[in-house]
Amino acid sequence: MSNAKEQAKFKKILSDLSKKEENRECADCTSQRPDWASVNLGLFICIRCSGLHRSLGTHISFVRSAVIDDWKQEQIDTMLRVGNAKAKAYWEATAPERPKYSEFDNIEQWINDKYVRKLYIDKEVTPPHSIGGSQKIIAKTIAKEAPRKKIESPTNTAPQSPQPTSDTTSTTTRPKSRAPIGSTGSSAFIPKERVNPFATKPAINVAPAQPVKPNPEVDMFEEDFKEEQIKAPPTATKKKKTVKKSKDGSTKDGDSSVKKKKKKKVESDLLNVDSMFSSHLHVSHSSNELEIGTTHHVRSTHDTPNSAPTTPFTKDPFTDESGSDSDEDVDEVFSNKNKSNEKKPQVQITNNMQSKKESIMSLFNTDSPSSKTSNNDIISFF
Amino acid sequence: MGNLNLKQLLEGLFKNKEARILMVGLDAAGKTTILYKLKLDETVTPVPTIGFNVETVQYKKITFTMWDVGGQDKLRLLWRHYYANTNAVIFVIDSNDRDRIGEAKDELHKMLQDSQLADSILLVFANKQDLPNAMDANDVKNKLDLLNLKQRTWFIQPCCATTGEGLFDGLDWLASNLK
Repeated sequence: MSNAKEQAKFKKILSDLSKKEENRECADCTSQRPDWASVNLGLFICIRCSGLHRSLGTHISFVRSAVIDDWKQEQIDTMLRVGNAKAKAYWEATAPERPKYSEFDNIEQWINDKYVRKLYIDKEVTPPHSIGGSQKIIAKTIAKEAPRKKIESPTNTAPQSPQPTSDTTSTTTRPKSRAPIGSTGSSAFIPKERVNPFATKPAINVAPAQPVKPNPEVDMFEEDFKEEQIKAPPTATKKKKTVKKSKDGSTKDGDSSVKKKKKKKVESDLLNVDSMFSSHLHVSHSSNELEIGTTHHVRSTHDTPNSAPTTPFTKDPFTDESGSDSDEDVDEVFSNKNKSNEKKPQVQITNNMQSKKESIMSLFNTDSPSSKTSNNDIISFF
Repeated sequence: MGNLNLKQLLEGLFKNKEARILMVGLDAAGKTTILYKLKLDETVTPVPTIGFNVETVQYKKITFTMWDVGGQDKLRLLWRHYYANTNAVIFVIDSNDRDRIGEAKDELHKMLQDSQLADSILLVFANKQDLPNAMDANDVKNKLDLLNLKQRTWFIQPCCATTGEGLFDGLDWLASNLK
């Protein structure tokens, strides 16, 4: 059944998307590991918030489960295009401060304010989820496209990277369970809060869970990537043991390097190598396509038991690669390697976006709010 | 002899009838909200139902045992396990969700083909009538192709689960049509 195969593919994409740093918290209440999604808004939410989203009506938020629902291609596309970081940048652009996990007495109100009354959006900015939608007058779209990208660039780079470190500190202080949401719901309707076994760990895991992708996969999508990537694995396997530890550090530091400026020699070497690889990335397309590539591999190697719900995922262009590197260590190295690769493209994105931004700045004045939010984010994270 | 007959007669008159009701529909149609509105007269905002909820509702001397089964794609495969001995099916529609009314129709007709449901009657709740873009009952009826259901006792009732409007009208119909 091609449909079953397609669904298996989508599930992998979703699974990997949900492992991205930005999507590891519910877009509304920040609870960990959300596995529901508002498909039309393109963001990941927890099951409780999904109940509240559903009550808004499908015209505002159309909710699907990443696990027990079937998906369509365009829905997947929206999820790839938006994600929690962009969604936050849009829906909470002018929000004074994101309430903390434990402070949600009235999350219903928060969701209502955010998505129905649209209290916190910057009206100049086109919503990230609407880009693929109906065609508007060309001039308008061009005009709107630009400010949107401005928002993307900071969210892709700045706010995401500091998150890992902040997570370490914040997760420990967070209460593991929440007071029931909504005054009306009796506890009978609310399934027990899932205890997240990884709740205290994310900071350590941060790197691997970043869009992890094997080099060969990238080949599938990125022609330019090919030559370098093929060379990469052998060296990587050798380096593995020595570099491994520093890699966790390196990516993290790389993340927060903007702030901390702590770099060991090894790390900088790595970064150099990585930047060589990433220099061939085309910024405009690569991010999404990379994500797609990511998905398949990680799922098939690490999560097969989870991911094989009804139909085995038999033939997929990616299974070959994933099957071949059965050795987990090798795999890890690949993923580590890639994750550091991943970082670089993001930096590149910023550079490009920066330049675009500058060129556009003269036309649009909306740049400041978006960059402001990203700064605020950074600050709030530390 | 005469006493016994009288006793039976009285029991027949005053003892509650029982009915097993299966409530299904696409996800986010409002099944659980309807169930608890009927049961508790409270408007709840439930989380998506993974599995089922079951409650008994007393109405007009009938004890309705209402099974509310989750409507997510993967969960629909489980509906058939609840078919046995079902007296009535309540199919809940999100009248505001025009994109998926076709999907709802497919699920409905697929379900009704099951022989275990051959004798059960069908009540369709056209829910969420309060939303601005909701289809009316007639529209829903046509889109669901209900007129094509031969040999099936059916009824469509517009309702709004959050306010409770229309819900007991639906139960009225059930009460008078359950055998």
